[in-house]
Amino acid sequence: MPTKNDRGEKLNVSPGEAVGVVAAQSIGEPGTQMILRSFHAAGISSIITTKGLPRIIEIVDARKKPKFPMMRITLEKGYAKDYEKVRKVWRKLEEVTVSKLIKERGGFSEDLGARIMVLNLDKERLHTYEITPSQVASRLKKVSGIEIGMDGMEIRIKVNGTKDMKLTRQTFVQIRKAVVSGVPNIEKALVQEGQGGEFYITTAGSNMAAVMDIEGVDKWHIYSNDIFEVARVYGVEAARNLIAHELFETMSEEGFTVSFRHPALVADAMTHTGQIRSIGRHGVAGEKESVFARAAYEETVKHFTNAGVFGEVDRLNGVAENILIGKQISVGTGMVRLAVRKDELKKIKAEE
Amino acid sequence: MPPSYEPIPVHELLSESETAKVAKKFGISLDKFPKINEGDPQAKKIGAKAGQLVAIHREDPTGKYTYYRYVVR
Repeated sequence: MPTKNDRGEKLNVSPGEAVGVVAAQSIGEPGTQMILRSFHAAGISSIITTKGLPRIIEIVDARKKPKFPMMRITLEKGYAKDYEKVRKVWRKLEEVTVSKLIKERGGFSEDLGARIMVLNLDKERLHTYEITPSQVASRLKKVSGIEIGMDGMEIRIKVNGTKDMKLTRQTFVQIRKAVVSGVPNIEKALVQEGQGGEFYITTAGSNMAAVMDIEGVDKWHIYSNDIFEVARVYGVEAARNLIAHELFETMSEEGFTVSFRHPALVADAMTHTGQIRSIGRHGVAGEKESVFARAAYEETVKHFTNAGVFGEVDRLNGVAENILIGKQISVGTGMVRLAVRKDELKKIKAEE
Repeated sequence: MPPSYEPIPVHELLSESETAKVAKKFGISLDKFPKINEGDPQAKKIGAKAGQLVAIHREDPTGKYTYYRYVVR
């Protein structure tokens, strides 16, 4: 948890302060010192997430899906400290496909000519996920055009629907990928213990909407590192919180102290329209009011030709365009305008 | 570790008179405020319609403060 900066709390920003520039530098400078190749530091949990500079770039670019989506699920009061109950929730989470339930060696054999596939279920694996062979069979009944025969731990499948070898092969793959239980997109789930003895679940893969429906899950306190999913399920404000805290925490983890207001400003700018925009050409910088400011940044010709074709007007209010034309920028003392009453001026002269 | 912060801040729908007060305080027209979509889960929850102003009671390491968002379609 960040410590509160008392001095900073008392100070309000003075009018005309270039907060954006200060924020950009406060994040940019530590960024230059960060290790570029800390791509995915795996924690104790063995659930991989992006860390360091790559993660910051990922957030600021507003990628539709993070490279390694993950969730941290906290549980309701009655559940959090009871390991058995937590295990129950956990079992519902992890996506269990048929291929996860068969033996590691010789789990299945297939005969494309005779269109027969034999699955050899693994007893231990069935036990960990608490799935019975008949559950697997009833799931497979949903696959069309096949006939299922069961013999203890063995499931024999005959494809009747087609004689085409390619289609048969596709059906076999479909069978092995069939989800028997769990939440789609959640590749892995781990139960972990917090400091207070309460358990929480960390998952690789993210699917907030589906997890919210599971009994015992603290619906409104799911952490996901997928910004767009958070925006969809919790709303923009939650997304802005995530952006700000994620930027802040990624930097803290690397050992850099930044005042929270800088990442917060970035997050506010990114969510200003109610949607999530990236910083840069396709987002915040590319949607600036001024033609000159946009042209000065990237794709100069595109912006000038468009401005010419559509008759855009530049009001010269921003910083970049005023530097470009050599006017004083409206930042700091440059923001102050003087208005003089001419008739009052005459009076002064007369007195002299 | 469980999240170190409250993910969703409290959203409050402002009445017309409160809206006018806030707009006057900042000295800008309503469409200059940051926006929130009408279809946003939190906007739906409080039943905000386009043209209204939503107060968001934030609490983060910089302190407690209120942020405003203008509801758009």
